[in-house]
Amino acid sequence: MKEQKTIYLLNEADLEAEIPAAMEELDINKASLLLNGIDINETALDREYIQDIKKRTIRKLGLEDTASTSYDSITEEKHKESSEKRKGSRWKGYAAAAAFIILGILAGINHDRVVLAFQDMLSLIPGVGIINNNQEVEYRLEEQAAAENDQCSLKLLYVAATEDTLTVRFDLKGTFTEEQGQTNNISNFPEIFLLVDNQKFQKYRGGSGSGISGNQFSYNGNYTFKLDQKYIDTGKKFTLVCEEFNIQVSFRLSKIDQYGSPSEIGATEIHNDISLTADAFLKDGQLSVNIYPMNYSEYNLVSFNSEYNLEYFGKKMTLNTDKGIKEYTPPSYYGTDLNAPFLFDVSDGSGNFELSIPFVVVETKEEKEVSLPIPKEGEAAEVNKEIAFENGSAIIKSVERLAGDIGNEYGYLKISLDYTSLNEVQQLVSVEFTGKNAIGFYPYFDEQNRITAVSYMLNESDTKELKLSVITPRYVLMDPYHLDIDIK
Amino acid sequence: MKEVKDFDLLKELNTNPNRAMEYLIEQYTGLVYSIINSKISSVGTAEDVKECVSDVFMEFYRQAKQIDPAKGSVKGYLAVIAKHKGIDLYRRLAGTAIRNVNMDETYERFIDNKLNPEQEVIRKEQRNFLLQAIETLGEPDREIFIRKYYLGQKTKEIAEALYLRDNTVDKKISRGLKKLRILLGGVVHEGAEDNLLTK
Repeated sequence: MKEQKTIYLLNEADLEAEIPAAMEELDINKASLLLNGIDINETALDREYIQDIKKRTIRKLGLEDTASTSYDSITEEKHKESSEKRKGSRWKGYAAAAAFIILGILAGINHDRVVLAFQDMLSLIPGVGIINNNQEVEYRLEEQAAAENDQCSLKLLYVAATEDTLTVRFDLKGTFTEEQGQTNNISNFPEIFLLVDNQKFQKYRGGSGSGISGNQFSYNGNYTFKLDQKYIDTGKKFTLVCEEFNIQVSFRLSKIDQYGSPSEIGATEIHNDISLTADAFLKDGQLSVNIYPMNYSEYNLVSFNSEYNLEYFGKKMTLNTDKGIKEYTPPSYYGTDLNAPFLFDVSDGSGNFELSIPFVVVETKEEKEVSLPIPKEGEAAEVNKEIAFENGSAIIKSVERLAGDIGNEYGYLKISLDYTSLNEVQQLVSVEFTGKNAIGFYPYFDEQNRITAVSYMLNESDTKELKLSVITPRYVLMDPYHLDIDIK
Repeated sequence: MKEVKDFDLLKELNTNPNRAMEYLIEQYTGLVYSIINSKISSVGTAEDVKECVSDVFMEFYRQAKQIDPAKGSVKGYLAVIAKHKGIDLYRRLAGTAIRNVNMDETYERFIDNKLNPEQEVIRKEQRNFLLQAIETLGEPDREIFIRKYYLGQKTKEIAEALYLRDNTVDKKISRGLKKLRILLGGVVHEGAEDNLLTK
């Protein structure tokens, strides 16, 4: 009879050593599963840090550096101007019930920071620019504020306030004294509090980050203070104080601009209950256009939520002018939730601008189940199964078993796809597949940017049949938007 | 943050690599930094960390053609590359190729002993079971464990990320370890001749 042994770890110390060791060995598949759903972006790294990483990496790779440093100044100017209300009446009653606020909240500051930090305060429409009035932010920083002493600087990056909370993002940078250097470490974040009407308020919630190199320190925080309603007012003077470094910075609030409709912000057109509003300005021969979408449709809007998926069926956004058609330079600032402007070179003096957006991309939450045969390795099987969604169908034409490779000993099932659409102006262009243990799939695109096949990784249990969910059908809604650009 | 699907991102890497890389760095520097910093902050400078973070993205780009979203997420690929890069750099900086990273003496005792194939299988099984057990902890405990032991985040960082108090995080870790120990105490292997983890 075989010997039986019970394996266990004697104490928590052993166990604590074993956990990172076990995690150290995770392969890509298991690491992906482990990290699924965990967002590490809250790590409050300095904006400059990320820009520096970009520059280093882009330089090492020999790629073109599009991490535009001039972007901030363009945005700054743009949003200063956007604080002036414009007149217009093209909006045809669509959103009469709603008032809109433009998030030109913070004149002269780094807007991507705003968005990042606002995520825990607001429900933002990604691709920020317009938010519904049902959010609570009422005030912004009146003007930029910073303070400096012999040892350090304290800079306010933004301030926003609701009727009873005030959120501040700040950077505190400087040099430790010799004495401080001996006692400080990265986990000793200095106490920072808010003063208003001689009342002291401590952080209610928020995050912070720090970096220390030699005797240099850099702290940044995103603090929310809970205040009585009476303290939140444009007449009040607020002071952010750090006693440890003997520095403080004062500021005031001003009301956020409000608009009665998107057309007051810029040219607006609506199709399929999705409006696009263009907000543009001209500087140095460059037309800078922000596109703010508002989505009241049944779909999830993909377009303009990120700067991808801008070209399908050989069509893309253009600017029609009296001197011909201009193509855009894509936004240069990625992944920040910032609605970055598209740039058009109009230095030839062209005018009469009309922005032509040939489509928007949307997805639905529909989900269908499908069972597919798994042929032997190297073999294919006809399937011709129709997966019918509300507005189109994905046809699974065939499947093919591909050999495995490193990290995948059971091979892949390559699924070939075609699409039919009920409506010519609503083209189905892709679906996604998920299954048990699925991380994702490898897509194959055609010239129209449609996914025409996917490879799905097989597991030990996938022998004769593979059950998958077919999800998020993606449609290109091909109703063109023509926006007459008013130059500010 | 905006969420761009992995397959859209990889498509973008082929067509507009600089734009895709910018997005990637914007989106994932926090993750990569956490892993690298936890590995080498004890032996390297802030500049070492920064350079290594940049190297991780460079390596990802170099491997982009081989990246298969069917095998793992972009996040998973980056995390594994960061782990490897961090370990390599740690070894270089620490001046030894033998010492393992961020593991205390207890773990070194395990790895310094040469395991026979059977012991190796048992250890692997034990670790698999341990990882499965962590998955059963429920939220936010599971996330706390991953942040602490995979990403190397400190209590304070975890507390701020999850809007918890520092001592709540510590308590959850302590209780979680006890729970895991109970769960692991029930593992029975047949025919095991010897096992370093057997007490």
